Parts: sequence; C-alpha cells; structure tokens
Amino acid sequence: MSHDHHDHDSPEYLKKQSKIIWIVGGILFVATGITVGVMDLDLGSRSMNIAFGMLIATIKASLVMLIFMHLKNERGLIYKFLSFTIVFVIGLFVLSYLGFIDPLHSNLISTK
Amino acid sequence: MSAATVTHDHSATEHAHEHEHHEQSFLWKYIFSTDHKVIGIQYGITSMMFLLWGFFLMMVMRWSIAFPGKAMPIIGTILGDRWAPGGIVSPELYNMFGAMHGTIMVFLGVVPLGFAAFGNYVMPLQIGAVDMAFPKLNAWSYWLYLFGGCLMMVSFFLPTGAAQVGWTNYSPLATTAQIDVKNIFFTGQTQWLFAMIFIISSSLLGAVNFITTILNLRCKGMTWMRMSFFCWAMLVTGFLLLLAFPPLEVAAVMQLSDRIFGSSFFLPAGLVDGNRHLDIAGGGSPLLYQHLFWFLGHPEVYVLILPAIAIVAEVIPCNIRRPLWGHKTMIYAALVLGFLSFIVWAHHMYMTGMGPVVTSFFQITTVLISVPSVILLTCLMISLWGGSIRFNSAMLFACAFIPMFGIGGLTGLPLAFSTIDLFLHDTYYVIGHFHYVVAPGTIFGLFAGIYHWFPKITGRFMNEKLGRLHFWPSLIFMNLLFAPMMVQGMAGFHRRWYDGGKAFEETTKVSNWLSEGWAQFAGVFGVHVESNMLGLNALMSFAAWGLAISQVVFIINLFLSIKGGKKTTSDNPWHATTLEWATPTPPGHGNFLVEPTVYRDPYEYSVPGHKCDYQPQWLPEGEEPVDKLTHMH
Amino acid sequence: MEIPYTVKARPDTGLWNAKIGIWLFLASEVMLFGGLFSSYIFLRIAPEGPWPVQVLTVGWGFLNTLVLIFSSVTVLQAWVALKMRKYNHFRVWMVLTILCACGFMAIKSVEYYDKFHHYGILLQDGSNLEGHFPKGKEYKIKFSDVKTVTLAVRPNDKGLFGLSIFHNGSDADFLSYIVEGKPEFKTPDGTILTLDKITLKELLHKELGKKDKDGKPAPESYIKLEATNPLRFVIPPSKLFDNAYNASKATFRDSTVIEGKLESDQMHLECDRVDLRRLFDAEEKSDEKALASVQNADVWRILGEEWKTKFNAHHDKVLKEFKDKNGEKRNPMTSSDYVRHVYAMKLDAHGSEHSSVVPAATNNGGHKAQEHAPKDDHAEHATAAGGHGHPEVTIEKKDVKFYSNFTPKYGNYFAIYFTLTGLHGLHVIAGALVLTYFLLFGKKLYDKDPEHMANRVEVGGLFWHFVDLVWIFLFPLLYLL
Repeated sequence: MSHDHHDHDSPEYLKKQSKIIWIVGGILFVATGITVGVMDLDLGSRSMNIAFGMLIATIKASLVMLIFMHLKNERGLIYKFLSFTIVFVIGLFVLSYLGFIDPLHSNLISTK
Repeated sequence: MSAATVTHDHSATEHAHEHEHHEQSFLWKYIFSTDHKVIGIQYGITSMMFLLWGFFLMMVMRWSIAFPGKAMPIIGTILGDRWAPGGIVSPELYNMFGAMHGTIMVFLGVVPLGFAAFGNYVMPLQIGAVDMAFPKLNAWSYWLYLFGGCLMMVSFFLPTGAAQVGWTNYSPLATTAQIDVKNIFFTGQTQWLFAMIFIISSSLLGAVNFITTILNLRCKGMTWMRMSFFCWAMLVTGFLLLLAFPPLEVAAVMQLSDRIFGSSFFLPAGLVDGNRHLDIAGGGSPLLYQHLFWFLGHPEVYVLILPAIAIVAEVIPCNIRRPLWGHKTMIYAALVLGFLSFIVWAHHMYMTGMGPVVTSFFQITTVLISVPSVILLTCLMISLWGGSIRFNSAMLFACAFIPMFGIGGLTGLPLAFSTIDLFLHDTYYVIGHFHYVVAPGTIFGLFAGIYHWFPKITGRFMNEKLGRLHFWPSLIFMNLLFAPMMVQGMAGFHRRWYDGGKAFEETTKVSNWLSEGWAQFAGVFGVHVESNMLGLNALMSFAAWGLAISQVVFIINLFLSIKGGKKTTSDNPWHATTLEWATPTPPGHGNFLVEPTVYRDPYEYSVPGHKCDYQPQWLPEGEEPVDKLTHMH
Repeated sequence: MEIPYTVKARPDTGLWNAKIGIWLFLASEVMLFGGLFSSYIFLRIAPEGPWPVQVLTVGWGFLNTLVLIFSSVTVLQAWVALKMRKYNHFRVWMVLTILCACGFMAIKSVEYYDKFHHYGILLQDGSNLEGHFPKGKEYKIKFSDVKTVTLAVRPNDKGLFGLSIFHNGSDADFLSYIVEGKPEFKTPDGTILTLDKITLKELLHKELGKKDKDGKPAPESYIKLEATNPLRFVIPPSKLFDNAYNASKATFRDSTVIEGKLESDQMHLECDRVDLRRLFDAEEKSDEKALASVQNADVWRILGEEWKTKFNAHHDKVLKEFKDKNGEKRNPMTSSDYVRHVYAMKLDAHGSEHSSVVPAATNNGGHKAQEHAPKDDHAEHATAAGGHGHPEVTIEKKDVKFYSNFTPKYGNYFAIYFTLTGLHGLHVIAGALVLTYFLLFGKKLYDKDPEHMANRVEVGGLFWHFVDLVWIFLFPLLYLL
C-alpha cells in the first residue's frame, strides 16, 4: 500500500497523468461534438436518438468518473457504497415507473 | 454542561493562560463548540424541546377529539381568537397542529435525539475516536438543523398559520393551500418546505460525518465485529439518511417551485380549487410526489427505530451481565433491514391505484422486512434469558421497549397486505400501529439511553425513585393511549377527524366490551362517557394528559440530577464493557486520557475464569477492571 | 488533540477522511439528481401538450459543455501542480478554472434572460402562439375612471397565541400603478386625504386597532375610499390575483379592490412561432385529418388568413421533402420530427421557407396591426414590426386560455429545465466558491503541509467533476433530445 502511494506521487507518474488528462479532455470535446452532430440524424425514431444520445453521455460520464475522478485506481470501499447508491437510484426509478405503468395493463393507469 | 465539566489542559505551563481563555470563551466552548459531545448535548436539548412542543400540540388536538365544540380551559384562551374562537379548537387549528405534530416529532424531535444527539455523544466514544472526522461540519449540521427548526416554529406566527395539510404534505393540496395571500413566501406551507430543505441538508451533512467517522476513526484493535451494535446501527442509519433524504429534497424543491413559480410538477391539468380553475399549465403528477416522499418516508421509519433498538442493545447486556445474544446476527439483520427499507416504500400507496404487479412486489418486500426486525427483537429477548437482571430505570425502559416495539411491529403486518390495507388505510389503526413503534417503542429506547449515559455526561446519577415514578405511569398511559386506537381504527375511525368522529355518529355508534367497560368505569367517577366507540376518545385523551404529567416527573428528575444527583464514584458506574466508559467523567475535549486499544468483543460479561463479571474492551488480557474516578488531567 | 487520517490514508480502508466524506456526499448527490432525472422521465411520459424539443439555443449549451469540460481539465492540472509542489502553476490553473465557472454562469444568465422575455400564449382552442412582447407594449391591465378603492384590513389574521409577524391585507402597493389623476380620496368619515405610503399606513393602523362591541377585533373589515377625481391604473398582471379582474373590478394580491372601467387588457405579441399540435390527438396517425383539424384554428383569426395560406404551403413543402427522403410508404405522422416541423411553424417574414408575399396581419378586433407598428417604407416591415421580421398581433384576453413567459409556469419542460439547471447552477457557484477559497487562502496550509493542501484540492476537484458529469447528461436531455 505505502509502495503504491509512493508511485502515485512520483513526478514521472504525475507528468503522465497530466498528459492523460489532456487527452481525455480532448476526447470529451470530440464526444460533445458528436452528440450535437447526431441529434438531427434520422435513426428511425426519436427514441433511437434519445438512446444514442444517452449512450454517448454515459460513455463521457464513465470517462470523467474513471479518469478525472480517478475511480480507476480507487479503493474498494468507495465502489461498495457507490454500487449501493446506483442500485437504489435504479430502484427508485424502476419501481416508481412500475407504479405508473403496470406491466399487466400495458397502458398508463395512473399518471394523473 | 455542569460546572464540573471544566476541562483541564494537558500542559501545566499553558494552564493558567488557557483557563483564563476558557472563562472568556464560554460562547465558543458551549455554544459554537465543535466538540462532538457538546454538539450531541445541543442536539439533545433542542430536540427534547421540540418533542415537548410536539407533545403539546397533540394534547390540544386530543381535547378537540374528546370534547369537540367545547371550550378548552385555560389553553384555549391563550391560543388566540383566530385559531380558537372562544377557546374552542377550530378545525383549521386541528389541521395545523396535526401537520406540525407529525413534522416536529419525526424530523425535529426523534431523529435528532436518537441519531444526532446519542450518535454524536456516544458513537465516537465507543469507537475510541478523539472527535468526529469533520468537527466543523458537525457544528454546521447542528446549526442548519436549528435554523430549519426555527423556520418551522416561526411559521406558527404567520398570518396563515403553519402548514396544515398533514405531515406528508401531499400535493396538490399542499400546493393550493394558502395561496390567496399577499406574499406566498410568508405562508406556513412555503416555510415548511424551506425548513425541510434546511433540515434535510443538515441530516445529509450529519450522515456523511457519521459514516466517515465510523469507517476511518476506529481506534487500534477496533475491528468491524468488535464494534458495538450501537455503532453498527449508527452506520446503517447514516446510510439511510444519506441515500433516502435526497429524493425528498427534490420533492421539496419541486413543490416549492409549484408554489412560488407557478409550475405544475405535481398538479394535473384542469385542477379546480374551491370554485375556480387554477392558472396553471398542468401535466404534472401528484403521484410523483408520493413516490419521492415515501422513498424517504419508509427508510425514515428505520432511522427512527434503529437508534432506539441500538440503545436498548447497549443497556440490556450491561444490566443482565450477559453478552448480547447474537451480536453478529443483529449486525447482519440491521444491514438487511437497511437495504430492504429502500424497496418497500409504496406500501404506503396501495390506495393510489397501482397495478397488481407492483403491489405484489411491495407486499412481498414489506413482509420480508419483518424478518430482520423480528431477528433484532428476538436477539434482545433471548439475551434476557438466564441473566441476573438489574432493574434500574434505564433497564425498565429497555425492557418495556421490547414488547411495545413488538406490538407496533406485529400490528404492522396486516397493513402490509393490500387487501387489508384497503380497509384499514388512513384509520386510527394505522395511527395506533406506528405510534406503538415510535412512542412507547423509540421514545422508551431514548429514555433508556438518557438514564444509562447520564452518569457519563454529568458525573451524577439520575434519581432512581423518580425514574420509577416516570416509568410506570408512562407505560400505563402509553398503552391506554394507543391500544384503543387500534380498536377504533378497526371500527373505521378516520385519522383526520377533528371532532373525533362526532359528525359521523350514525356510523361510529358501534360498541364493544372495551368501550362499554370504559363508560362504566368512568361512570364510577361521575364522568359521563358514551358507551360506544366515541367514548374511547375521552379515555385516550385522559391517557395523553396523564402521560404529560408523568413526563413532568422526568423533567424534574433531569434538572435536579444535573446539580443534585448522587455523584458517581467510578468512571464506569454500571460496570459496562464498551469504550465510552473508559473516558474520564465527564470526558473532556479529546475524550481519552491515553489512546485506547481494543482487545476483545464489546459485550464480554460474566466471562468464566475472571474475578470480575465484566471484561472491558480496553483492558489487556490478564488485567482486572478497577473502579476509579478520573477527570481530564 | 488532532484528528487522525486527515492527510495520510488509514491503512485498512486505504483512504483519508475527506475522500470518504466527499464520495459519500457525491453518493447523496447521485440520489438527488437521480430523483430529478426520474422526475424528468415521468413528466415526459405523459406531458400536457407536446413536449418541447430543441427549443433552447444548442450553441449556448454546446459552448457551456466545452467550458465545463475544460474547467475539469484545469482543476486537475491545478491538483497535479500542487502534487509536484509548483504553487504558481497551481494558481494559474485555479484562476482558469474559476474563470470558466464565471463564464458558465454568464452564459447561463444570458439563456435565462432570453427565456424570461419569451412568451407563449395558449388560445382557447388549444392553438399556441409564441413570441415576445414588443418593447413598450408589455402586457398590462388598464383601468380608467376608477372612483372607488376598497382597502381590506384583517386585524384577526394573526398567528398562534395572537402573535403575528406579518399582516395580511392592503398595503400601499396599489398607489404606484396610478398613472393619471391625483391619489386624493374621501375616507368613510368624510375627511379628504391625499394618500401616500405614510398616510395610508396611518389609515390602516387606525382601522387595525378598532374593536367591536365585545372588545374583540373584527375578523375582517374594509375601508371604502372615494376618489375625488377619476384615476387611471396601469397594472402589471402579476400584481393581481390570477386573472382576478372583470369589466369593472380588479383585486390586487394584497386584497385591495379597485372599481372602475376596464379600458384594455389586450396583449401585443411579436409572434415567432405558432404551435398547432394540441389541436389533434397526440396519437393521430392521419396527416390529412390533422391538417383538416388545424384549418379553423383561432390563430388564423388573429394572424390573418394569409398566414394560413402560408402554413398550408409550408405543410406541403415539408411533406414533399419527407416523402422524397423516406418514400411513400412511411407515414409521416409516425415521425415526431415531421409533426414538429410542420405543425409548430416558425413565423418569419424573411425566412426562406415562406413565400415572399407578406400578409397583412389583422386581429379579431379589426385593428390593423400596422396601427401599432412604426411606419416603414417596406411593406414587410410594416407588418413584421418586431425588427426580426416577426408579425405583430393583438390578442384579446378573452381568447387566451393560459399564458406565461418561458419560466417554470409555462409547462413541465421548462419547470424541470429550470429546476435541473438551477440546482446545477447552484452547485457550480458553490464549487467555484470553494475553489476560490483554496486559491485565496491556501498558501498558509500549503507552506505548512503541501500534501494536505493537495488533498483539499483533490476533494474540491472531485466535486467539480461531479458537477461536470451532471451537465454531461443535462446537455443532451434538455437541449438536444
């Protein structure tokens, strides 16, 4: 562990980090351009555009999380409580979604 | 708190200077302190005052229920003509007090007392930490909480009065109430939302602090399984607050937007208020509010109950001189409980027209969550078996907690089933059920904690005789207050009747042995009470006021004991095993005289082969504990 | 007393305190924005009327995304500089980061300002006009010949225990909307008073103190004031209760009532868009039926029949383009883009889509729009008075079902837009404040313990990246999709 730490503080490592940060920043710039570029593409339906847009956003977000927030070399503890958080966000969404639209009815039963 | 708390400094050379400094900075030492113990006491005092106020609101409501349309003596005239014309509690006042009773008790009373006050004082001591991980943030949490609480209090004195639509603040009623005013900011409904945002932010900061402290500041040797159940419960509670509160914050912000900016997050199109169409765009969903509210609302129940269970789990092993039965089982049960509590919320919403699939899901999870709750309760009960029980006041409350919480929990089971809930929803049955959980349940746990840790905090014991005088009437009146609610509820009494059902006399004229027996009993004392269910209202109201009188005993005991209680002769007067008893009495800034090391599990009572019947966590193998009283140097 | 693990990581968890703290905080932030995003989805599933798509200026959002990403890079460089113990580099990068934050908020304010001045007017039949109120012709309610003003006094509007912090009832606000006439009134007891803030306060105060026979304050009382000369009021609608006026009476939000003659409550609007999508079912699958259903829309009465002709031409053009691209087989109504392009038409007299014939916009009151417009040599400009080539129309209030500027009130899209971006903006401000604190007051800590300072910046940076991360989702959700 202490050995690890030493590595992460060495000037070479930091210089390399600095470079990686610029590269990832560049990728994010390009990805933003792509997001705007594809918005008017006809992918069949608007839902496809939404799905595609969200896909790019998710990729960008993962890059920010992994590289910028150095989650890549973070400790397991953080992963543990982040994964719980994600589970509960999904729970909040899916379960209230089911509260609005019941699979057995297949139509909106109680949005208003 | 008392004069005895003057801390002495480590270095003798600095002593004179520092002492002078202390005299000057009373404000910084006791008011703006960053010491976790002072903040814990601040939380404790503030929340007990809120509890008292919430209790007062309820007593006024109980008058209106028992004697609708009759002037309330003395208090009725103080309340003011607007709210109690001629001393008669008006329906608006009833609504206002009802909404604020719930809000104050849950968000300003029990949670801050159980989690913030006890957690702040005891948890860092029990894990052997010098303070919380972020002391300044800790102080910020308290001040945000106090500010939110004050906003809540101020709203009583606005021209519209405080919030009036129930503690759940459901839209669209909460959005359309109190909007015909000069300035929508200065209405109770709006202030409720502002206050909630502050209280929620305070809880979030507190939760971050608690979890970080438990994760990172455990002392040497304090492994996960050597941590007391109390600290585990604090950890789980912290996560519940951390992850469940933000959706309510979202709901509060959106409802605020609905009220102030005229948006329609929770308002459907074509909404009519009174006789006019509201000038809104519509398209919102009232159900969305309920989902966001109950996503917090249900974990909140466990935020209320877990600290109380945890306190009881500390008090019981100490007073039976036996290890806590199933310490590990209880820890895992608490973790499962915490996890499940996030996915049961819609059992509050069976009546909203959810489909069968999602209803079944929530039914299953709700029934499942009773398993860890029962495990916790069973472990506490089995612990008692074969112990040599020391019945001090703390232990009495802890013992009463078990059956009371048990009744509260078991009466909840029928409500988990949607078909039964259709019948019982919003009746007094529900009120009885959750009050058994939070009043004789949680509050008894908290009382146990106060009696138990009082010697550590002040260096003096609370009076045991007064303690018994507090306990027995409380236990009796609590049951007289809440048990008839279940009976009434099954007869169909709705929870929001300000006149206790008098307007529905034709439908509420049901009687049973309880109501008839009570009427005859009251008749003996010359009090005329109806022999049907309505008559029970008077029984419960008298019980509520009796309960109030028995709390006076507690308040007297608390204040008298601070100055005049019997002094402790040991740092560890109960001969307990957890680390908070290793500190000087009372613990000063920095807590421990020597950095503690933990050598064993938390509840090593009556270990064979030792002279003493307790082996504290901090004593190395081979040493026997001795009674001595230390001060901070 | 020193709290352990503020700088060095605890061996068994491998983390120092503040890092655990910030990640926990971010977890709760995930729940916060998670709740908002799921609200966004639920509101979008069943909106009232068509969900606005691409109504924001994509350029601004795009620029802001780049600004935030860049600031994320700079805050990391600042941290790297600290790690390498180059304090001056750290300062430069930090200044850049904070400048980015300011830039982001500046762009945000420009966008907000634009929305606050853009209005949508929903007519009774469901057709919708969007545009700006022309300068100097903002929507006001005008009352003339006002002879009676009734002040409401509510002595009993008190809080608990008879204590009260504020009073409901009249204040002097209404005086500031008198544009003609002297505020001179005859009070009920016959004295003549010229009202200003102070005299009015005295008048109200006297009434507040009054008690009835039993010595109790009356719950509510009124002071009826007769104006000695007819007054004219021009009142912004926000000062009245929602639509609380009729031909002879208006009620202010403070419950003051004026009685007179409603002179005008017309709205003037420089229209830039007409939206007809509420006139047919959202599930409508026949383009012909949809087209037929919009032929008698209220908007044509207001804009003039000429615009209907233009609309039909526009419809045919877009339909043809659609068929050229997709072939005859695909039903255009299945494409929400098609429906949006056709039935939510931009009104632009200069626009290349439209014919060069510029219709004379009329309103149902028979007033020619030209009357309101500045005279100009070009016929185009005479009708398209807004200077952007947008037709200017006059709308009677009775034709209006609902109107609002593009604020949360206008609909759930804008409500969630402002809530999400507003909360995000608050996070940007909070983050920028923290980073500014590091920049200004970090030197002392840096000299004492540079690693501690680096840790602090790392924590601030983590929060900053999270703000960036939220925006990465907000941008496509609100601007593009």
